Amino acid sequence: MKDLIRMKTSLSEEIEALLNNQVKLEAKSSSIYLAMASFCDQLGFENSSEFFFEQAEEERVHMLKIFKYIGDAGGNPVSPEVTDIPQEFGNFRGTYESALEQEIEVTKAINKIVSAAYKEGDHATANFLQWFISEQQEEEFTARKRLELFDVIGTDGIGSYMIDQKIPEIGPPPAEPGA
Amino acid sequence: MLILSNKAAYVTLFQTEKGRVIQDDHAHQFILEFGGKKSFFKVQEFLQFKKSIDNLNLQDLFLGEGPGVDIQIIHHTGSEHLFVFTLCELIGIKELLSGAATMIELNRILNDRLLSIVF
Ligand SMILES: [Fe+2]
Ligand SMILES: [Fe+2]
Repeated sequence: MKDLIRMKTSLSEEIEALLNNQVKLEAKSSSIYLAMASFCDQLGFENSSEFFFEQAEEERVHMLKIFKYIGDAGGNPVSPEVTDIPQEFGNFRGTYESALEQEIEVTKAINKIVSAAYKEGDHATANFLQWFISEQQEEEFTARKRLELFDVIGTDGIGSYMIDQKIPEIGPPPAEPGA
Repeated sequence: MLILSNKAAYVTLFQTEKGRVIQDDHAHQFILEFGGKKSFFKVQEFLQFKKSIDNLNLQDLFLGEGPGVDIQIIHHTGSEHLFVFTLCELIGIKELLSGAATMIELNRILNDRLLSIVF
């Protein structure tokens, strides 16, 4: 008797559900970043607004990447329904705190899928997600760096303005020599 | 009972008094016999059909009030299937599908462990 489901798709029901859940999470991240862009714009922080707008686009690309992977693996990708998007984040600093918290949640979710994939011997999915592991490492690193600006510069006087000026300078950690 | 040889085109995966689920190896489809009706499912359709049945909360349906709660309509765009089930039939179909799913999973394990050329 043939294994018809395996012939149709390399994804187990569980992995497909976890990946579809991740599609939703990336879509939600995208929408939240968009809300942050609007919030920062209202506060008058142009660089931050622009930064969050770019993040929103990045998260959408992440979503599409996973969406396409599910389809290519023979699975059934589901276009996500995104609801309950917060529209304000307390204050300037609070916005960056929420951004870091959100990235940590995404990292946890990715780790969970990778663990499940290895447990099932689904190395293709685990391998596919390696890119996301590195991406999350970088995202958390830079999110912490941005938050550090608030401690280093402070928000008194023109502090907030200075922080906003510094935002575009924050980049990923320098590559190790020879890497 | 499961037949391991690749020659059998039709294998009954699971059977109850209410109906049965058959796997058709040649046409790569599942056949559901239920309530005197025979329905053919492509693999993806079958998985989706099972998902929608699983997503129905029978307890809620039983406790629900008002017209229409004792009738459930299952339909997927992109497939010609349209089912109208009473609550009683839903229980029967749920049992049938979960039995079939177990046999599909068992077959997958057998394929992996016994029939694979990779050990
Ligand atoms: Fe992401
Ligand atoms: Fe991110």
